[in-house]
Amino acid sequence: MRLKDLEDRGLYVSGDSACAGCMAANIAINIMRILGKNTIGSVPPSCMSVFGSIFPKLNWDIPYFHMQFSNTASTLTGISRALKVQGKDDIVVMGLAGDGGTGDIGLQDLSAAAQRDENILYICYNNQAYENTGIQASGQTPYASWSNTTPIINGHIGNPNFPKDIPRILMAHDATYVATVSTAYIQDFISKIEKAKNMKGFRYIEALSVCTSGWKIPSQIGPKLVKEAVKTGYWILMECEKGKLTLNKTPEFTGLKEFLLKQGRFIHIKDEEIEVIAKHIKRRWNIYKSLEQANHFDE
Amino acid sequence: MLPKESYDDLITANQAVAIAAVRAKPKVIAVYPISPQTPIVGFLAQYCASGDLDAEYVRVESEHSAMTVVAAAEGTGVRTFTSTASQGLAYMHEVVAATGGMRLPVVMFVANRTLMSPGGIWPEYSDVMPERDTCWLQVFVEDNQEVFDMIIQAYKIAENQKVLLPIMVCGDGFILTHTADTVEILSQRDVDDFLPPYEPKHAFLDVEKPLAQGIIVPPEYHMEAKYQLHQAMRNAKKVIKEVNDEFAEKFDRDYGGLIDSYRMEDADYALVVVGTTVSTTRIVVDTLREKGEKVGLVKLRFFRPFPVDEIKEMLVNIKAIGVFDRSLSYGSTGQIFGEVRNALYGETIPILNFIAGLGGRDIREKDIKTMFRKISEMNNKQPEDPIVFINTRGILE
Ligand SMILES: Cc1ncc(C[n+]2csc(CCOP(=O)(O)OP(=O)(O)O)c2C)c(N)n1
Ligand SMILES: [Mg+2]
Repeated sequence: MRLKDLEDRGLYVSGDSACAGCMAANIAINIMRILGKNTIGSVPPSCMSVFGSIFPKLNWDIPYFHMQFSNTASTLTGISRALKVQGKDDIVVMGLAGDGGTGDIGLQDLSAAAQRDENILYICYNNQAYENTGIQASGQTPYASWSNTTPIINGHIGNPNFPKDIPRILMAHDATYVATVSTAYIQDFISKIEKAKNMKGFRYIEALSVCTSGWKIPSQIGPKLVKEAVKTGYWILMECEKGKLTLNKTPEFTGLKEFLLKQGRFIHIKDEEIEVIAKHIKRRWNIYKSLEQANHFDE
Repeated sequence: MLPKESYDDLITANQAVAIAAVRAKPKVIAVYPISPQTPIVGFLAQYCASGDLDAEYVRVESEHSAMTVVAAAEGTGVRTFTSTASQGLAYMHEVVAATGGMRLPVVMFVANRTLMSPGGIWPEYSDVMPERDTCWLQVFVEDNQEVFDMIIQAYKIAENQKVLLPIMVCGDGFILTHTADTVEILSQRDVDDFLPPYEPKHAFLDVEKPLAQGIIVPPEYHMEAKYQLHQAMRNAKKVIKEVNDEFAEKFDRDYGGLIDSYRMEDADYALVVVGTTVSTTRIVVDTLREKGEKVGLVKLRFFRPFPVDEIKEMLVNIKAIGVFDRSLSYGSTGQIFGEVRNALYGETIPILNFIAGLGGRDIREKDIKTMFRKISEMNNKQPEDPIVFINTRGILE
């Protein structure tokens, strides 16, 4: 499917209460333009659950199940198994969870569902913090970034830790399908969601999602940032299908400083910390590169 | 393969639960090992593998996920089953509450076991008591036959359109789960007649009819939702009796519905008991009756909904009452005592609360005799402190 072939209006309908410039809402809109009617959705507590599903207002025009913070993958599992016994295997069971719900509190059932190869499509919108509760650091918060729980006072540099690499964790599970997307590369986004829609088994897609209040940015620059994120190597576009890894875009590895300084959460950052991030980006890319070169291990 | 026809077998409650689940034909099962219900986890896996049961068996990684999987499957419109105990139940707690609130008629067996600390794997009701307010029906059973029969009845009660609430069948760990007793297994055909396949008529996930379940309900709408939960709980009282009576009519075993009693007709002194302690108390009642003491017992079966009217009717003409609790709300009283005294509000009958069997300590005939002795010695006076610890070092009886 090409962008121009997509329905203008999908089944995530207008009228949500997301902040201006919230990329999570944009991601939900685009996912539902692709997935269509034959979908059951579940969103755990997160910004998404608050801005898109407060009774009696619901922006999801599909069957929708709201569960707890940590159990999206198990929720999808229960739905998917029940559909199987009802003979409705053609329905896409889709979850859309934040980075905290996915990589921290929800990692246990995500891991279990991946290992059992449950027939589910799990999408994570990664805005790199617990945004809904007011910007606390999650396991996906970048090094040296500010949050309410990684303050910049008294010599503290912000977050002292590096983000977990959830796609790599799931690749270590030999998951059926693992991919990352950025809405700036919309054709790549569409093909990956579409491919996942038509596959069976455990599918995981992680989308970089800008949060204007958490990242401390003007509401219009999100789309630009998720493009720069790919160019700088800060966000790797990859796809791992049945153990075969493809890196979809080689970064230019330039413009990191400018990219970071556009975001208020990095405004305090020093050159040596930028250097640390640059090294981390390079190292991560090299790891993915070497995994790509290991594709022949199957043969 | 399990026989399809009716048969008697010498089995543990864990086996009885698993076979009852087979007869009830759930379509999705998710269970996780924890003593004393662990054998159920294996039995069900085997019944699914052997073809005795045609269900999706999900090997979840935790109880939190076990409850999630059955709740989500139930929300998709299929019958489910799970079981747990103690820490497992505590670990599922937030999902237990969500399941009650979403009106999902899940059936769960709980093998009662103490909740730490102090740690222990032996019987106590401190695991189910904290789930009291999660909008689940809670029923205590006395023996392995009642375990089997109640699992079957539980589906019929829970899935009733006037109820649509989940239900916990609570049986004493080890005393039932690891002790074999003769159980009549009803034939598949009889169970099918009594319990037809589940056809959800309420909200469930269906792409032809998009609906949302479990979403945030703001203050403007919240009270009404909670009011309906309370109504459903109240409706359950009648449905429990109807299901009990239909079961009794068909299979000749009458458990009395919400409560049952033994030799209460002309009793002066009564003990309110639950679980396996009811059996011990029956024997003591017989012994004391032979000596001419007018004693009886009230078997509390359902803790939620609580049978306020039935308890009051049963106890209103009694001289003195004792209530047995195998758990304690520290700083208050035993949980069952609180409910019974509440039901008797306005009455002046002296009442004592016996805390016994905590952490699995044996409850012997002589302990029950002590309880009857204490209530018969009350001389029409309410005690200053109703709580009496039984068979506890350093406490005089
Ligand atoms: C068990 C539990 N702990 C904590 C919370 C509070 N909580 C709700 S949303 C949230 C943060 C969500 O973060 P993330 O998953 O990254 O989504 P985002 O809000 O950033 O979109 C937290 C901590 C909860 N709902 N449940
Ligand atoms: Mg987040």
